Amino acid sequence: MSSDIQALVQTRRDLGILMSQLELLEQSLYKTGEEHFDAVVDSRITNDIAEMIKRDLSVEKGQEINTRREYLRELKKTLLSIKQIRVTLAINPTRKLIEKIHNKITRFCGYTVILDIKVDPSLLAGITIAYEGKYLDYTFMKKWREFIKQKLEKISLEMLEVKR
Amino acid sequence: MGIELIAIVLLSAVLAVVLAGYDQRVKEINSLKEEQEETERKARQQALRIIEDARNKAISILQQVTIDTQRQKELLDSQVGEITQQQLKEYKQYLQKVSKEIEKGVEAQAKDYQKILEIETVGAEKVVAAKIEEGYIKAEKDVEVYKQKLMDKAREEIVVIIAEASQELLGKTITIDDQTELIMQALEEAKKQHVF
Repeated sequence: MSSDIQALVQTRRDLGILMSQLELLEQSLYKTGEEHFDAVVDSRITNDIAEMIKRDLSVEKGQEINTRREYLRELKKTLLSIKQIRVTLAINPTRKLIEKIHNKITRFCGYTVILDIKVDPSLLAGITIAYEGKYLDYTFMKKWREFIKQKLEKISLEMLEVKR
Repeated sequence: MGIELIAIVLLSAVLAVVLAGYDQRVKEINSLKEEQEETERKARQQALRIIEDARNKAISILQQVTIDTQRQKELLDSQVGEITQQQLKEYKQYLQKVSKEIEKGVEAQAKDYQKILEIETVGAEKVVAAKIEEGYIKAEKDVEVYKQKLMDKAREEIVVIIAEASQELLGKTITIDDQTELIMQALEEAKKQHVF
């Protein structure tokens, strides 16, 4: 299950979608017909998630409701326990870029994480990371500003020298 | 008849004696009345005389008292005047004495005050000079700090202006591959800094 989750839930947005679908499935446990659990899994749940659920539960007719309910609760509990990292990018990331960032951070941390992605074009490029009370700015804008500031300070010092 | 006559004569004699006695008594009474009237008159005259004498005496006494009072008053005025004059004289002398003492005291105090004032003035001049020096140094420092603040602010503003101007140009020139590369490098840097 954990490897599936790592692949399916990489961002806070993914988490929101998955949580709402699990809610839907919980409600369908006690319904029949088109709103029955099996029908909902087939028709209203995202393919990747539906496949994971089918694989984990081996959905068959007559399977105990309690087992399904317990599975859904455990899945929600696991999802809510995953640590989140806020990252700010200068561009709207593609899915491929998100995967790259997510995989790298997960590898560095040693456990799966959920990315809370924000976009701020004024950063120009790079990334800011806010995680467990730490904030680090690795953006091009920061470096650019520091560069300009250093130049200006150098100019100011030179002007002072000339005055003396 | 004889007896009757004798009785009548006897009775007439008795009557005559009684009448004579009565007449004597009336005379005595009248005499006594006259004496009484005379005595009363004399007594009234005596009383009037006594009253007159008393009045005269009273007037005399009153006149004497008035005279004495006037004399006493004059005497008292005289004595009071003397005493007052004496007291005024003494008071004047006392005032002169006090005045001289005060004058001496004030003079001494004025000298002391002058000395203190001189000392204080010199001290105050030094303090003022020190304060002015201190204020001047502080003002110089404040000016330096203010100049530094202005410089810092100007630099910050220039940085913002240049950065914003660069944003338009650089934002368009950085490709998605460059973006990805920069992000990956940043993550590596974060790893080195033990962010994860």
